[in-house]
Amino acid sequence: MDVVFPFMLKSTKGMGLNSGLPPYLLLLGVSHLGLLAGLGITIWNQRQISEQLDGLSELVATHHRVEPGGGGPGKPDSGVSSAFDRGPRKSLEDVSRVETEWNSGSAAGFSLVGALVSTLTFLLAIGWWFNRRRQVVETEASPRSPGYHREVAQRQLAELRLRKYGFGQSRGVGGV
Amino acid sequence: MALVSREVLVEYDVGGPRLWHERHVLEHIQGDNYVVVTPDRDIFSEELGLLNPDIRHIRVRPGPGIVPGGVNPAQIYGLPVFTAAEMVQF
Repeated sequence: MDVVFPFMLKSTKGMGLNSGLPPYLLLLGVSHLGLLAGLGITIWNQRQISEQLDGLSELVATHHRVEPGGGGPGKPDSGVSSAFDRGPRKSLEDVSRVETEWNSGSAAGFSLVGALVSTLTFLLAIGWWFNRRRQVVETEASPRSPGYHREVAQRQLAELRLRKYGFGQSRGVGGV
Repeated sequence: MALVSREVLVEYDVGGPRLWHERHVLEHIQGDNYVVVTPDRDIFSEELGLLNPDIRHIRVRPGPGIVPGGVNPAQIYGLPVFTAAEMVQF
């Protein structure tokens, strides 16, 4: 005789996963992965935005340093600005484009994986919920049908008799 | 001998839905063999032990109406309430 623990009664077998693990453990694991993916995406995006902000602040600082020396409308050019004009000025679009191009590929992939994991988790949760609901309905329905247990009991005992004595015999295991 | 006047739940080693058959033990015959009464008031002898290959699990009710651990109450084909007259007849 083996011991049946209540928490093992509803296993992953009903979900088509024959591991015997309780479904909520599996669900918890997958949800955890989904959450980690979401957290990763958030951190990644945050870093990207932070880098963009750094670029912008650098642009603003450069702009302020150039501004007092000249370049303003109607003001004579003192020549200070030329010292800062060694290369082409980076515009906001340039900064954004460079940062985004560098990250877009991996970020998109990461987001896709995160979305897939989240969707999978959601589908698993729905499946588990329906499966559990079906089991509960079945369990609740059986006591309401008085003849059901009797019918099953008779069938099981008939099977035992058949297995033990073959056709046409009635002794051995008794009635129900 | 220890099972006399007790209620026993028996799960047979057969296919189909899980069902615990309740038995009231009337008499001890020998070894693990007992005279039992079923929910349909049938009386017969049965081997209530681990050596019986037809039985998958056995649980003894700790008391009247108490469900042993690991048994789903909805899966019990339980005994009716026998009257005193019926008990005497058994």
